[in-house]
Amino acid sequence: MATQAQTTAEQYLHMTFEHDAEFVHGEIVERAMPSYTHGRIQTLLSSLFEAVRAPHRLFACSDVRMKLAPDLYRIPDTAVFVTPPKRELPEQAPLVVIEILSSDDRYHDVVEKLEEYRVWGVPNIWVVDPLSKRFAVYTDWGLQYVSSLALPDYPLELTPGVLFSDL
Amino acid sequence: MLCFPQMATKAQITAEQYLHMTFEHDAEFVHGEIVERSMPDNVHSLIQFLILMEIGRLIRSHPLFPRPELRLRLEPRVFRIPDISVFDGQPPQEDVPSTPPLIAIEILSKDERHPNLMQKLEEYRVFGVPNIWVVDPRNKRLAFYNEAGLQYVSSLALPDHPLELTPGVLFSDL
Repeated sequence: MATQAQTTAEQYLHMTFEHDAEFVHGEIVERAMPSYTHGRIQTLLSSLFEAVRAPHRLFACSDVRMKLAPDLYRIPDTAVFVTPPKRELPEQAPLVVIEILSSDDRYHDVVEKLEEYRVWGVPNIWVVDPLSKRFAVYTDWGLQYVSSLALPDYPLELTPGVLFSDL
Repeated sequence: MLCFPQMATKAQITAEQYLHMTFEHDAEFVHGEIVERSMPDNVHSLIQFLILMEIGRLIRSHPLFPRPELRLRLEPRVFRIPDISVFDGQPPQEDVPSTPPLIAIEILSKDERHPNLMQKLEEYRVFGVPNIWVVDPRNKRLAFYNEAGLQYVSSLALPDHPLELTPGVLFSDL
């Protein structure tokens, strides 16, 4: 999945990909190919966050390249910001990142990415697994199952019923 | 040697057919599908050896029965092969045991698929395995699976036996 030829961040930023890739310490890292289920959940997440945007100032964005470090760019399936980022490629940790798992996601790739978000300072790292129809949150505890995904200060709760009912 | 082009073939077979097949590297059987396991590599094999050495110290004085790569029948149509199973009290009586071991240990390979791993761990839990341990050599991490999730721990230990797996024991040669 990862090419071994080393690339600079500058080269990466001027490359185009039919399906956008990530950049991890000099390597181009391809993401899982989008599928109906993945795209459908991403759409539902966008609409749920969009519904609370105006009163609560939450800015959700799908597939945004984020610069975690000079040689580390990741693209969460959904990122949620409390203020619109100043840069087109945000360099500040968002309030929430959401990763939607695919059947061919490798454990190590997923956990490496989640750990990078944690170290970067993302306070809410959410994992949506359409195959098991389960949610988890990632912290220094590990990967903890939760019955719903919620933010303490916002009237937003994602339940399996909302995200998985039409799969 | 049967060759399967992908991780899981979609053709359905019966448990009886599965049990009479041979595989160069043994596969699992999950609801009618053959599920290939990650190919063993040097790190995987080393960790498996080190864990068996640790458990091996105890087997003369404690009723622990370690079994590497043993097929377990979790349900009539679900067979899994933990990297190491450890039975307690008495050794398993069946060739393909259908009673849960005290411990099931999975050593992660680099191409381990996340959803497949979590599904397998959840099957062990439902089967009744009280200690589901995950050893991740690449991140040098240990974790424990239960209904709460996959929890990072500083060591893997049993309350009733003097067995403790630490990063120092398992990862110092990596």
